[in-house]
Amino acid sequence: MKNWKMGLITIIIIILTACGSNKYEAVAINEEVDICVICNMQVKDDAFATQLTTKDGKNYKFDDIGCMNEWKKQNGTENIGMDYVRDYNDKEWIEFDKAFYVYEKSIRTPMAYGIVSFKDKKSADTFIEEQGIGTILTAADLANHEWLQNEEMMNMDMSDEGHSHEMTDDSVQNHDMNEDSDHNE
Amino acid sequence: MKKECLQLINVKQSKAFLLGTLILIILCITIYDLDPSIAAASSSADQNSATPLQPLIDEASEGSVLFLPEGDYAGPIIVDKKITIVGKGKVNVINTKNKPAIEISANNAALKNLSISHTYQGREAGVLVKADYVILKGLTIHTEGYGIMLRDAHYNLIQNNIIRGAQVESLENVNKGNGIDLYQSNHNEIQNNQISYVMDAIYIENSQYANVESNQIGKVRYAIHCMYVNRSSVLNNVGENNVTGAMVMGVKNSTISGNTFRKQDGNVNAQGMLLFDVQDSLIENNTLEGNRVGIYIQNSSNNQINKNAVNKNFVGIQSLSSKDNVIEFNDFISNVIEAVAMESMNNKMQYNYWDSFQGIDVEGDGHSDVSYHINPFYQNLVQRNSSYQLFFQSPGLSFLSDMFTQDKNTWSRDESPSMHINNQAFIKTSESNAKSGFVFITGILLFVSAIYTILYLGVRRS
Repeated sequence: MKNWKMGLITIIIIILTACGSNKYEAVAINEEVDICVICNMQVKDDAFATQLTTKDGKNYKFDDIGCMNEWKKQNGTENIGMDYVRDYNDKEWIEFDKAFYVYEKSIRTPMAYGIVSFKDKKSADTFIEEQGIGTILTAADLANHEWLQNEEMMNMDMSDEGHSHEMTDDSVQNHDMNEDSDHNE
Repeated sequence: MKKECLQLINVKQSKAFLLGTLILIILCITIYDLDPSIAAASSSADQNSATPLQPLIDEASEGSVLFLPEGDYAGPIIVDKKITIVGKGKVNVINTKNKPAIEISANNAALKNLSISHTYQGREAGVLVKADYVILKGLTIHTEGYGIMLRDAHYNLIQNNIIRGAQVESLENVNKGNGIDLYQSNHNEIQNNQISYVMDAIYIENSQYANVESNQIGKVRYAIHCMYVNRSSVLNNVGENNVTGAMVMGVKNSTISGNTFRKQDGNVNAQGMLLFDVQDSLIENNTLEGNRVGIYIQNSSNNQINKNAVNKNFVGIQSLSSKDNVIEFNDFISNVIEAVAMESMNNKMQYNYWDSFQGIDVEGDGHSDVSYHINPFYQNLVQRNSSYQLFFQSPGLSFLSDMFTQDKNTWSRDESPSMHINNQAFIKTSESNAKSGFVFITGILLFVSAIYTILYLGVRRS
């Protein structure tokens, strides 16, 4: 009897371990709890969401492909098991390397990187045709992409002196501002 | 026999008394907890009986004022000339189509005292402004999409409006549209609006010189969400029960002052204020109370973070990869973890009040002579494996934290913490005082009932 029980437990353990060894599947987005690892914004369950799973099984989600790129810059790509982007039209998860990308700075994405992804070249071409803007990129092209964020309006007149904004006349603050540079040595 | 009878009555009476007290207390608590949110308005969207509005606008002459008598009007409409539309009494503009209920494409147009029901679920807005010098005042917008949308629209005034999405229980089902949404729009004034049940109450992207002042925001995802904003100010707004009060991202040369963000604790990622990639800005006199994280500072530099009251949060201030900020005269009171800092060097942190810190002030200048160090050990651990949060404040972890002190000079630290609370005024104005009266009365009631129970129902020595 005891042996039989032990056998059952062993089988259960084996089954559980087998479940664990699943290879880097894309994980569903849960809007309630998922935030972008880089920028802390909520990850919406939309076409801009991306994710990657590291070789030690940790999954990271991003609200914009630009944030995933930022993560890769910080952590390198050697340890990535698989990275996924989404098809712009049907939100299907696609492997990063197999997707086609369209970039145009005026395309609005959560972090304004202006890149959307497609599962095949045809749908990417259709998107460019419909919108009348954008250039097509492959995953390899993205390696040389500049990853600029569209913030041109914000910097329209760059007579920027840094501290030129509305500060209150509080003497304490002004004092701090002057001291700021000395302090950072 | 008589004595027993008397005792029985006594017991009965006191039971009734206890029950009464209990009911009273429960009643008090219920009344207190009732949310002062605006009751859902009943907009009976009967578009068929509505008067078409577009012809009235087409007939109106340039520069005139169009007074609308009380009643229902049918949208969508386009205002393409400089006119002022004023509602006399209850004027309801109803739109069920996938178009903005009211689109304004003419400079100097104005809408006043209208109610707008925009019931199409989508990416269109109750009011779309594509012009300059437009005034939107006293509008009540019920929307299933966006509330007010500004596109390449400058120098507009949005004042005293009420914007509400469909009421929902959880964030997952919240309206997909934003309350007030600015894109590439400069010099806009957004004042005294009440916004609830939308995604982001006030969303500003790629704009300059926005002034967001004295708005009241509740039950939304992010109360104020700035993306790539320059030279703007966010002043005296109040946000409650949102996921995050102010989501400030990619912002330069701006002022965030006098805002109150409270009770942002309904979501695991809730924050009072998140500063991400914020440069050269002033963040002062804000009250951040009862949030999961009070202030989260990430990739931000050269900011002044002064005189904020950070109370009753799980984490008071959290900083990551942020440099050269000045963090002074803030009060950190009753936070579970006061401060967490990683990769944050060269910040000038001093004169803050940390209520759990015990300093020594020999000189008597009100500032401690010993500095307050923020140990990053726990944060490092949790970042690698979030399950270790289970060991929060366990003896083992405290012991380990104390062991790993070899790079103490690279930690963030408050050079000379304040020995007393910096901003008394904030503590007084905060809700806690109003609440304490209630607590006092409840306490008295409980005390009296306890005395009564002990004296009259206690076991008799016989």
